[in-house]
Amino acid sequence: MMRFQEIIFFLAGAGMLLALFYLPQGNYTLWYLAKLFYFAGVILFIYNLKVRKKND
Amino acid sequence: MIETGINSIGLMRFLVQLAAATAAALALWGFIFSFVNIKIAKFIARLFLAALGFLGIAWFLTAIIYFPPAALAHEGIAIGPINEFIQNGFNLNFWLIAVLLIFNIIFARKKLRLFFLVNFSILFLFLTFTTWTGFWGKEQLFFSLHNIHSIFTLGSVVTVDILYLLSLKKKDWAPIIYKIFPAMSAVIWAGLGIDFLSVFLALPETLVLTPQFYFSQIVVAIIILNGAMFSGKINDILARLKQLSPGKRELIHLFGAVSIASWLSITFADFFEFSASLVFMFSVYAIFIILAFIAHKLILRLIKAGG
Repeated sequence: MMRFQEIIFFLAGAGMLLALFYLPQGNYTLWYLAKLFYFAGVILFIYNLKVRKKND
Repeated sequence: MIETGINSIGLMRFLVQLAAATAAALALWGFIFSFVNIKIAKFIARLFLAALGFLGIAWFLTAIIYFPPAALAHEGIAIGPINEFIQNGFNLNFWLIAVLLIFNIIFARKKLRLFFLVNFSILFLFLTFTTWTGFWGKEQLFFSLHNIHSIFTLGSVVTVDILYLLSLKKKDWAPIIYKIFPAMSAVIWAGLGIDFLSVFLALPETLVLTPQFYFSQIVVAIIILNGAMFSGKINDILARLKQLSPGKRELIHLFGAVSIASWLSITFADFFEFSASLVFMFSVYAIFIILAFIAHKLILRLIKAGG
């Protein structure tokens, strides 16, 4: 089963691809949103790593 | 013949960036491994010196052929500075290369932790000043962050690849190496984050929707999707140290090939203004992935043949 952090990263990656269709129209919302998801994924990844280390 | 926009100056600058990022990443991870396993750290020290040697040769050739110091340029050399900021970087980095050379002649592999730490610090500065605008502003911060992120992304991806192949040869090192992989993934994720931040500094005036922009953006998205699998499921599989089925082993090699080919492709793209079509760029990218996959298989065969 996929973990939450992986879902966030998948959404970021898919969002970046989808955003490319809107950029020529000058619409950057999805592009920025995808980057936001990416940073959320990184923070979650590092947090989970710390939690797992603590549990070990 | 297809006009691609690739030239020898860009190619040499790409090799310098690749060597500097890899050497700096090896110094960083060598330092970390020196706390975990001294034998692995010593192996990384040897690799580091090889990467440093490659950097020295590539930098020196690029500097004397394309970016001669101003003093030399007055003595009849016809090639003028192509870009003032890059020329500034070469002038500044001359001193850092000199310090690196002297330090490594005297201290090569002595006091391992200090050796890694000093080398990493100097290479960090080297990449900070690869492009120098002359003063610290938004533009300089963009250049510096963009160059530095290669240590944590491209350099660390190369290091992960080398360590993974090493773990197949040295089975007793595998559990130690696989334990560090999640931390390496975290650094790679954070490295790409640094690049995204640097891009925000240069927006919106630098955003030009060329085929090259689309190529880089799609490859970055592939890196994120591929990385989500790599740093999640694959790290878990490796950490459990179970005997892998041939199918899963192939899958790991495929993900690894996509990762390294993607990082090399977007770093390569940084140094050129491509005039080729998007289809052509993706065809070359696909060839890179296939070549990386074949290289993995060949190295694996060599490892098996060598026992």
